Amino acid sequence: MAKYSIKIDHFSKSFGEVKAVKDLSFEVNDGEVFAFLGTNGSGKTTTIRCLLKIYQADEGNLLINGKEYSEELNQIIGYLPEERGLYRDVSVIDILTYTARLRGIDSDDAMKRSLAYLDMVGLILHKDKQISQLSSGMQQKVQLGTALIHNPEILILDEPFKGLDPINRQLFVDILKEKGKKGATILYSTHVIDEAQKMADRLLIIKDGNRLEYGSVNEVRARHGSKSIFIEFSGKAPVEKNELYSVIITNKTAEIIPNKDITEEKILENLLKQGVKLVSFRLDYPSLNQVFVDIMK
Amino acid sequence: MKKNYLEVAKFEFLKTIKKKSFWLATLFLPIFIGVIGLISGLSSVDAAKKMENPISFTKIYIYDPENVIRSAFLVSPFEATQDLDAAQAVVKQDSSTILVKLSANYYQDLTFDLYYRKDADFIGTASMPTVINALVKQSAIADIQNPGVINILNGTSTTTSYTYDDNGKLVKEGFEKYLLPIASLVIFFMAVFISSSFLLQSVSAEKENRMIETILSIVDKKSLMFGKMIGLMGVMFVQLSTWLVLGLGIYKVVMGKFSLPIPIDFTNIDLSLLPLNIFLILMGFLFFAAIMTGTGAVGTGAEDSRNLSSIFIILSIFPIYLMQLLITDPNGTIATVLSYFPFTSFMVLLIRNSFGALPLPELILGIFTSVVYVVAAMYIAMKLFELGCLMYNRRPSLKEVLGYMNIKPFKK
Repeated sequence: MAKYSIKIDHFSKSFGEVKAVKDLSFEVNDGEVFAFLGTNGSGKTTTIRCLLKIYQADEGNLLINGKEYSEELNQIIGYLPEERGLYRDVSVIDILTYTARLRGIDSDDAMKRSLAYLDMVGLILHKDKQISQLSSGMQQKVQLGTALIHNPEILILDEPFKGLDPINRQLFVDILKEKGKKGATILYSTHVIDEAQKMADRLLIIKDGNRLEYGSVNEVRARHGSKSIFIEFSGKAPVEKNELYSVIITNKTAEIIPNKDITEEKILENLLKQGVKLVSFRLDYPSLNQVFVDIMK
Repeated sequence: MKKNYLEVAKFEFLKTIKKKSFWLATLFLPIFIGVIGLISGLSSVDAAKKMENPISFTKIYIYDPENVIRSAFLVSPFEATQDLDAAQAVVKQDSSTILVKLSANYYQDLTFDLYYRKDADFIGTASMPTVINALVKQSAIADIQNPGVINILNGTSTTTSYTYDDNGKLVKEGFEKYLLPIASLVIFFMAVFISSSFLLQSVSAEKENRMIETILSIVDKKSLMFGKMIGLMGVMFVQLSTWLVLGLGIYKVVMGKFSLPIPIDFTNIDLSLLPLNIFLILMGFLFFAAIMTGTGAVGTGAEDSRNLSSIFIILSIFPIYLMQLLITDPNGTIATVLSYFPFTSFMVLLIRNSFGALPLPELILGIFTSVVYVVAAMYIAMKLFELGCLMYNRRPSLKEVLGYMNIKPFKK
């Protein structure tokens, strides 16, 4: 068993008649950034809650470092729930030190870490303010602080980008990348597929509690159809769909998905005929976004 | 890590007592009672002074056709009159005058009428019957020669009661008999209905603001629930101590300023009843704290949880409506039945024990059932907490609750 790892083995969970998760198995390896993808209600949050014993699993083993979750593991785990919020009538510093103390950090160290975090995210001048006095962006930073205050080796983040403004989203991404670089094991669920393609080493896609895809980002992309063509262009955009391909256009870039038995040469010829001025033209597997859309159809 | 519940308790305690609203709520009640007591005390003193010298009238006409009142007693402002019409004419015009018309057949019917303007002094008019009765009485006594009879007619007998306790010891009875039940009930009410409501607020607010999942990812549900209970029990002690200190302060001030008409002999309070009362108050607090935790967890928010909890509060204050019956017949059927109904048992046992009316077998049974009810309430609260704490925007149905508790046929 790797040092900081997660293993879900034949896990099932029902709520009354509804089977939320069915016989799910996957592993997150030490130092890996692992994306947990699925639509709303697919079972991501249920899996995470059962992993952390917030819910009890019906069947299967959910292991962190080879052991079922217990309060002892709190010192190495940071969790950001999807349904998040903070005590509205408690000061910023009190919330951070409280969560640190709950994780077994002594009072002095908890205070030092809290102040250092607030300094890092630019909230040091607001440390004595009550949460209700902060903007939602500031509250999000405090919320992330409750998951990071003890410098965890394993981060479990449920929809970490949900409800974030662009600045905080970038801040969260930077912090997670930094944690990833330092070797933390990160499991996060998300709807932001583009971000997952950039950040994740491996991923899992589930639908209605069933595992649909599992593996490294490139493995998953490779398993889904032929390679896509990624172009950059100036001026006129290519037509959105014709007998050769379909396309997803984003500003001056596009992902072209060739129809069956259509070669890249024919596509290139067709684009030039349309008068599309190409800046770049490269072959790659379909984007994770495209794979996700295809699977969920 | 094993002491996480203490960390939760500390946080909950400090979070609550740091709030201005807590101190407002804590200080408002005793200060309000103190101010009301002071106002009524001052009013009583004022009224008593007026009663001591009730003759605020400049003229009191006495129309006494049978000469019941001795003329020697009729000094200013009293004035005997034979002309009823003339006296009435004066009284109609002058609110500082009053006419007392004794019946023409007074020795048989003992009646007299008063005539005065509607804006005449209230205390003066109210005290006039006493004044006239005293004059009549003194006039009658003046004819008696026997000093013993005079003494009897001038005074009233005083009574002192003595009771034998179970050990045959003679105990002087007084107001202190009611002191322990009253004090116990007041503390019970405060502990149960004010302090346990902090738990309701704490759980429902934590659920409403979504902090609960963050906390539950760090501490387990038991630690969180028991931590909250311990912390808020601390809050209860702070509140009770504040009330006690303020209450004693107010008592001292009131006693210094006004004389309390009821002498209290504290040495006569049966302190052997106190341990069971403390136990019942503590059990009552834990029972209702568990109820509040459960309702806080299943409600969709603070408002919804408050509505839910009101059902249990109504059930628990029900014995108040039967208080007279419980005091007069503390071992009757109703008192006995209510002693073992979960929501009323703590209060009824408390009242019965405070009057020393709890037989030993019932006392033992009462302790046993109290513990059972608290354990059961804790278990149910724990289950409701597990089920409801992460159920946002909706309440679990009764079927879901029963199913979660593995109660057939609702079991999954």
